[in-house]
Amino acid sequence: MKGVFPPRMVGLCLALTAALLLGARFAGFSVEANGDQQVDLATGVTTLPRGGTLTDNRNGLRLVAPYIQYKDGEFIRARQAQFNTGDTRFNALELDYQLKGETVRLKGLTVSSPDFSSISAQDGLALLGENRLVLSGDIRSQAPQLKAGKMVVDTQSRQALVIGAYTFQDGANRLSGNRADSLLLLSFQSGKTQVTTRVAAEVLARLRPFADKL
Amino acid sequence: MYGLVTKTLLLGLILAGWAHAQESPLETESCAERPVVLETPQGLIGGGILDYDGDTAVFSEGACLETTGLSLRAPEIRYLQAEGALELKNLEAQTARYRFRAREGVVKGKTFEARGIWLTPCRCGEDLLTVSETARFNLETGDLLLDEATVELFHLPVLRSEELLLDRQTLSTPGGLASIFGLSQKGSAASDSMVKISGLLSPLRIGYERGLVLGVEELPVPIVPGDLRQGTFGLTLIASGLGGRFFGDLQAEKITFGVGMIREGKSGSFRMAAGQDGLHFRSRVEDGPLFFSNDTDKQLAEAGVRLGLAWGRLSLNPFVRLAQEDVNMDNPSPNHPVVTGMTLGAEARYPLIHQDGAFRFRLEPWAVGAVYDRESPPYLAFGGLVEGRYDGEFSLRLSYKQGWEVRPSRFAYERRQPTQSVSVGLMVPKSRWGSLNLQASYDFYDVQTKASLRYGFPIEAGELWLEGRSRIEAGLDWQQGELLVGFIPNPLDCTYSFSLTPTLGYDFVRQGFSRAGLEVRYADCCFIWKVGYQTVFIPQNKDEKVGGRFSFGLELR
Repeated sequence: MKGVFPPRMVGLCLALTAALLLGARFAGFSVEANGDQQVDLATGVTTLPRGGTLTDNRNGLRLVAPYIQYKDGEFIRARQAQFNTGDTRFNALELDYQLKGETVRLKGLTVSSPDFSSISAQDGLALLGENRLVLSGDIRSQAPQLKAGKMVVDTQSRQALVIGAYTFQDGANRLSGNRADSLLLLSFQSGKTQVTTRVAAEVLARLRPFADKL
Repeated sequence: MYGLVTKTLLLGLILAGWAHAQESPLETESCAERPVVLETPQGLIGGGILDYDGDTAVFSEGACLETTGLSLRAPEIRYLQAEGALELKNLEAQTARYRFRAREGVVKGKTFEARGIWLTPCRCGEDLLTVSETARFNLETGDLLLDEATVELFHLPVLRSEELLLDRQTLSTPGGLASIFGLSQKGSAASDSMVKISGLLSPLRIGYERGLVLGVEELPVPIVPGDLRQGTFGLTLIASGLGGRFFGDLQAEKITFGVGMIREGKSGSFRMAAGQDGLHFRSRVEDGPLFFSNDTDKQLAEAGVRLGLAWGRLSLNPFVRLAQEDVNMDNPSPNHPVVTGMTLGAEARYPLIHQDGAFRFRLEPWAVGAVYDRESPPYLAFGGLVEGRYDGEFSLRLSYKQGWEVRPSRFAYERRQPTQSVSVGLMVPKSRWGSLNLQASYDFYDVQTKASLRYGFPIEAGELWLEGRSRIEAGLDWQQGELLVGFIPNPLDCTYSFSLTPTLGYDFVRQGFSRAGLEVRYADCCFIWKVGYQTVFIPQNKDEKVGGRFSFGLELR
């Protein structure tokens, strides 16, 4: 029989962690435009109306999008953006990366990797300075199949708090919480997934407030 | 023998309780509605809290498990992921009809093993209780094996069984054990003309009629002790008319002993009655087409073969029979002469059925013919049945049957007496306006009309009913004109409550009360106790006699 929480769950957390590390690293990049590059001299904002590719060769990162707007040291905005970092790929319908505030807002987000097929959500908010990732709205993953409404990930402590009704399905096993105020804390430690619905007050105080930011 | 009877009866009560448990859902919130739910191949586990350390998932705060044939609750359920096993401690199950507790239990694969079993069909208390050290429940087949089981009645051990194996069919077939032990709604042994008291514990006979009646009738006893799957045989042991001599009725005292068994198309029964008038034996054995029987009261001894053949609608039963019997089998007497000999005959039937929606039409001609080994001339009888039915919002039945015989037969076995009758029936099922049942028939040979009309009116506490019965013979001679009135209370739901079921009959022909009856039912935690008394003041047919009949019944709540 398969486990309730199979090792793939750990992969899911690693991928989410990678998303934040990626953001933190995306600093110095080269630009390859598909067409014109429009530079607004008054604001300093560069627009690639036909898109292009931003590459950070040092970290092996690539952002490809059909529409990109950026301002050095301040923000990167893109539509239908595709990040690639090694094996992990991130897609977002809209991406708004505020380099100063160290936040990345994502809409229509999908993260995929060979370790696990993909996880998607309507909205995502990465708080890079605080090592938090908030996912909201129709969160879904494949293998294990996860369905949830809201999730806060703390990449430093390697914990994820699922808020509201959720289901996990892996093979013949299916775990579900069916209350609007259901809580499920996943902790990823030394290759094992620990799960509890009994969330300590300290952990709740550390994670729960971030859910309201999205 | 008394001990065995008591034990088996009590065991039946316990098992019937288990059977109820199989059928009834949990009264409280279902396990699937708990805050956290894990569905696994072993079943559904729920709880208020889940803790999982990477190896073991622990459900607590109202943990529950639902799996095939089992619904359990426990303070804590541990799911050992590597072993695929579930561990439960201090588990309990409660349904509408039964409560179960165990000190600990493990579900692994398709087996649930429990230790420290406590099982009672009582709604409160534990007047009737089974305790067992271990139990194994096969989740796939539903077999339940209890080891070292003890049945306690009012905290007194009344039965110990080393091993008791029960299968799901025995336990949960509608009416299965419950009906075997007479715990379902079932008429008592009251004759047709009496107002029936329902729900008596049918194998148990406690009552008063020409003296005290005490014993069991057709009590199912496992052939292999403790294992009902191997079949049962029916045991009858009744002492009747006890104390009748004090009322001058010496003939009433009688002891009846009997055993009967049905298994794989074979059946056998033997019954012996001993009284002041001597010994009476009755037995019958059937094995496929072969049959043997005897009955000392009818001076009957017979052996024969009867085959069942069919070609399409036509059914044909050829038979050969060697017999001796009383010349008047309808009214036998040891003083009568007997007839003996061999018969070779056959019975044929050809039913034609046409159904169109709620309408059904049936036409069934039949014929019986026989030849004998000696001087009796051949016998021939034939006839038919025509019946029309409507079974919709109400049921209406109209039938006519007629039969002729060319000459009297030598034996009663093949005899089909001439008949000619017409009958009608109308049934309107229960509604807010009440229920109606009309039955009427006219017999052309006996020149007799019979009719009965029953109307039941539902009220909050139960059903009030009125029934008129009449029988008119040739020359407009009213033999019966009886009006019965009674009340059937709703089934007892509350503990420590009682209800009354009264019946009263009035004979308009003879101008007087014909019968009266009262049944008192009392419900405690475990049982419904019934005490009934019925008395006939004016007999309404030849089977009834003036006198009272006391009955006692016990039913599992």
